[in-house]
Amino acid sequence: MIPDRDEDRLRALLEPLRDAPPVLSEARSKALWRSLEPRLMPARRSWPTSLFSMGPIALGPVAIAATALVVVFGLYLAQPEPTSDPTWGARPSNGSLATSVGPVVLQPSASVLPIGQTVAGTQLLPSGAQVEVERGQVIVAFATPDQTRLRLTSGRVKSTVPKLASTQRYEVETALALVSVRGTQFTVETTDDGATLVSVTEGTVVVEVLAMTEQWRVAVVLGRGQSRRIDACGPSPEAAIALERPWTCQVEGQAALAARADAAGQSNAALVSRIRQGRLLSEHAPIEAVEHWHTLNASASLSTFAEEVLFREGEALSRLGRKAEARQMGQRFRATFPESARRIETEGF
Amino acid sequence: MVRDAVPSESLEAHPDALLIARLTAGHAAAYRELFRQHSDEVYRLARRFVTSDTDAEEVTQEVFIAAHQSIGRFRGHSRLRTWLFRITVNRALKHRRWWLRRRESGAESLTTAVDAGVSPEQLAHDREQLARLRVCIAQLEVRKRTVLVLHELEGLDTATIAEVLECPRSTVLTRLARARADLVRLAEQQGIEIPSSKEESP
Repeated sequence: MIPDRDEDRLRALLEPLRDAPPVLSEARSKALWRSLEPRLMPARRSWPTSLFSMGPIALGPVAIAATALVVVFGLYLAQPEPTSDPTWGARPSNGSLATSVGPVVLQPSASVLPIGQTVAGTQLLPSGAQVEVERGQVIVAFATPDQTRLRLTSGRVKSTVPKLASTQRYEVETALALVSVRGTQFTVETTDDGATLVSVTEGTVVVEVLAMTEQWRVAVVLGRGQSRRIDACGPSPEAAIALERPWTCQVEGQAALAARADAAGQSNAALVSRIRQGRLLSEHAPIEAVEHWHTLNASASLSTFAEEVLFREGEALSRLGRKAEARQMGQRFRATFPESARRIETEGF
Repeated sequence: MVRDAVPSESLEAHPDALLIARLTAGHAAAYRELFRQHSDEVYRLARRFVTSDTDAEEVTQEVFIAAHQSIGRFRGHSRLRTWLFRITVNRALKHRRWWLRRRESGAESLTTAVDAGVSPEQLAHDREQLARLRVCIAQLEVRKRTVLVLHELEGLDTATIAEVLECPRSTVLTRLARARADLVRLAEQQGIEIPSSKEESP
């Protein structure tokens, strides 16, 4: 042990080192992130995938919707290729594409495209996806056989994506939306007034709305023939995108929920989190089901929090006219929190 | 094993709860946010242990990849920052062990200063005394050096260091006292002029 006085002297000695710490420059930081980002992508779980991690009761209408999407997608895979648009030619089979599609000659691409490369005309990507830049500019964020992300700065780009393995991803990003694919044909377009327009010709895509703060994202699934316009978030965005029907969640054992207001204090998205089998799972939820949740006290105990989650959800279901589900939720609430059962009669649904 | 200040049962009250939830859900934007918030300090801490900027960048990458791979096992027993620091220290020390083995096997030809963990570039640019001080710090036994760096250079309090290193606070205090004593001794051996304490100043 050294005396306090020596401790002071040591501090003074170390001061120059403390005051001149090693600094990661902004340029190096960006370069680091660029090389890191694709390595963080493969294990990423997507929104629809994580939906299936919920219990069978909890899935409710989502299971039906998701199953329907799978069926639609399966039918799409089973049916012959559409021939109405000769430009698009044949979908790849056995891992390769025809080298000629209509009048456009596809250039064989490298196994990995350089980051920042501009994609022009019609191009076959390392993943086997075919991309056609109809107008504007598309830049490669990364393009490997497994992971593709293109950035559409402006204009219109059309993608035809072969069926992907679970580890593969194909995404097109604009300033407002991130569109993920599970094997489909779709277009992403930026409009003159700054919106993003997504149209799905075949299969399904997941559209994530990139909110202003990046803290929250709303995600919707678009099926065949559907399109969605995503407007820029203003100072009070409400929902930048119309949300699909709400899904319900179930509080089982250890569960937690978090909902967040946007910068203007209005909810436009919510996240439901639950701890299940020692693992924290998170789902996006439509705001109709959780509009009051952001008023919860974040420091509440877990049981208080879980109780509030269940109560508010039942209340929301009741308000939405989904009486049977609300009753079911009420029963679950009474069983889980018998001491608070009176709340249902006095306050709620 | 240290008992954390934040019990796992109250993860919803965890200061980083939302970010943890999104990380666990695998959202790329959450990883971007994590990197934005912590990459500077992860790099800075890594750089205190390894011998070059490039190595520090490599360790930084490893830290975020490890965080990505193990976020599912993160129980919320500490702040995300503390957790990242724990990964950083482990990775940086592992990197340094690898580097020392490589040096011992003759794969590297190094100057005395580099042996002590200081790059030639740094030596060239630093004032002589500062460089010698770095050599002294690098010569400290690794556990003492880790505590000294975290406390004296990174400014972490001893309770947080105990969380980072997963050891009792009393151990941290002991190592810190010994590290200081060793450093003073090494500095005197090196002929480094140690500033006077305030009481001794005229």
